[in-house]
Amino acid sequence: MTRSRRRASRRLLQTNRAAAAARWLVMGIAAAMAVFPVVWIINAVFQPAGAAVALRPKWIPTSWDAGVSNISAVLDDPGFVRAFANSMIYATIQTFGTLLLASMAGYEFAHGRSRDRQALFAVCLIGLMVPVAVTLLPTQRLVSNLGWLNSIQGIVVPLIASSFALFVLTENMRAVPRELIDAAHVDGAGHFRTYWRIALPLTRNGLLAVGILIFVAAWGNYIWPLVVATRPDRYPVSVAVARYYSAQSHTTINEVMAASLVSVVPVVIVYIALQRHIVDSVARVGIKG
Amino acid sequence: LVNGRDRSPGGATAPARRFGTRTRRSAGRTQSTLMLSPFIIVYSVFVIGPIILSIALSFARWDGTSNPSFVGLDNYREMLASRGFVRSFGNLLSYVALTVPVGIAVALGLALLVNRFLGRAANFFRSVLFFPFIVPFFLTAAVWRWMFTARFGLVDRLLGSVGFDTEGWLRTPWLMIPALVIVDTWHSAGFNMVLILAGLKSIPADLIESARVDGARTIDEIRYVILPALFPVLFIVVVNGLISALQVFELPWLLTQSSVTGTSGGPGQRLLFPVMEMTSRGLGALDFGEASVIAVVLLALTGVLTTAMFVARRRFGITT
Repeated sequence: MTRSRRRASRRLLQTNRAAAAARWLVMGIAAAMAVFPVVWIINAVFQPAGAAVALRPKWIPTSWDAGVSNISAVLDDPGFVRAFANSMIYATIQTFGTLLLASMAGYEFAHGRSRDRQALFAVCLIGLMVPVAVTLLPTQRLVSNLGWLNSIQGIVVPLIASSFALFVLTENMRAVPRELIDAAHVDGAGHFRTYWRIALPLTRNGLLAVGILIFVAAWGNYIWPLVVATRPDRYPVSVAVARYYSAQSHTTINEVMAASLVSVVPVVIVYIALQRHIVDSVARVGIKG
Repeated sequence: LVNGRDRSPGGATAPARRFGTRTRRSAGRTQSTLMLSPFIIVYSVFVIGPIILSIALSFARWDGTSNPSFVGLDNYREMLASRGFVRSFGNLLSYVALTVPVGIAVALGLALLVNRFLGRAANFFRSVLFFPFIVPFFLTAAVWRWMFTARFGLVDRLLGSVGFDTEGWLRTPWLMIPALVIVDTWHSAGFNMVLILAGLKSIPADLIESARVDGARTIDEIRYVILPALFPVLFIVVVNGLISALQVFELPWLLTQSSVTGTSGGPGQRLLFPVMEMTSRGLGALDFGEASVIAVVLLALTGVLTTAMFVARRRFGITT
């Protein structure tokens, strides 16, 4: 009796162990596939010329010196460096601009005079379902008629009224207790001052989450700058790297890979530093939004 | 309701006090307007404006510079019968039919798997699997193009060893859409997984516990307890997937190295999608009227899907 029960429990333990091992295996493979392309880029950069495209590829980096020289070749290309700087400027301005506009409007919709304007708020969310791509042509014509082609404002301004940011930040602003706002008003703080000193600091988690997502999207943005920035000195890094890949480019595959690697560094750093935060806020926003 | 609460303090106070606060109130009103208007102005000009322009231009002939002329439904008549329109929407249909079910199956599988892990391991896998979502499209496309290269690419190397040799997936017409689906799934599975995972966490533990006490196997547990409870989340993921699939263009664009003005979509134009056709009609052929027809069709389809989503949300009791 006891022996048979012990045997049964041992069998159960074994199947559980087998199941756990299988889970770890499948998960490990999935995780490897998720990071593989970026790992592969790193691998290709730190190889002597030709090794990355050989029929028998090397699976681990073999040459530190090759990597250093590939990367410094990219950093010596003034076109690439300028594109990288451009992207920094575009993405930073777009991120802060979006946050400012959306948080001010969100504060108004949550606590200001516009808090009953459901219809206006609904109209402001139409942008959630209409991406830039669908209205690309009229927007491009508009920017062109304003004389904004090849300018920072031409690339940034059409993108900073984000319905997504407004939606999330209004939700966050609604969570700020009304009593705090009223108390600030009683203490004599003006409307803007209350927003800036009370509401904004209390919504910093939402601001951070939205800010990261906007920055990552702005960094990867390709088609919009492509039709607005026609001059090479205005290219963002996405367009510059895509040029590296084109058939007319005179660079070696190792340099192409090095350019790719350098271009993704800011996004990867932001992600590694804040991954828990990013994933949590996507889960929160995704279900609600 | 809110109106009532709003009115009562002001209405109950004496006229004298109201007079005293007038200056501060109007100052508040000015500040209110100042805070709302930047968003409203930029939004009207660059979001609402182009939508209205798209609709208006679909009834006009316009080369982008001269004065547009009204042509009624001509653009629709020509466009709906044109080869590019039929081809791009045909491709879209087969792409959607493949990528939505495949994407959701992978995301659901990953979510159920990650859900069996606890603590650090769970967080680690969640973060790693989400990672592809933040890799910019221009890199995703570049790496995958290389993986799909004939002979040298990793996909051909792996499948070639089991006898599946190709001329490169992105050069073989019938493999082009499957290739895009693979890349798209790689990109978005982690994102959808995070949503589904959040749904899984919200299933009451005693529901699953009682199923286990009743002796339910894992398969039964998934089928009869988890899937029904997940239905609202899965619905959102599907509709989100449909909406973003309608607008697909950056990945196929970069995968086939299309240009703004030239023909696009790769061999056999198997990766020509509506937004790409629209862009080349507009910026390439300078026919903004016909290009706008595509925009209007896409806007209408997205509108229908979004409405369906809102109605369903209300029925499932997900309030925003």
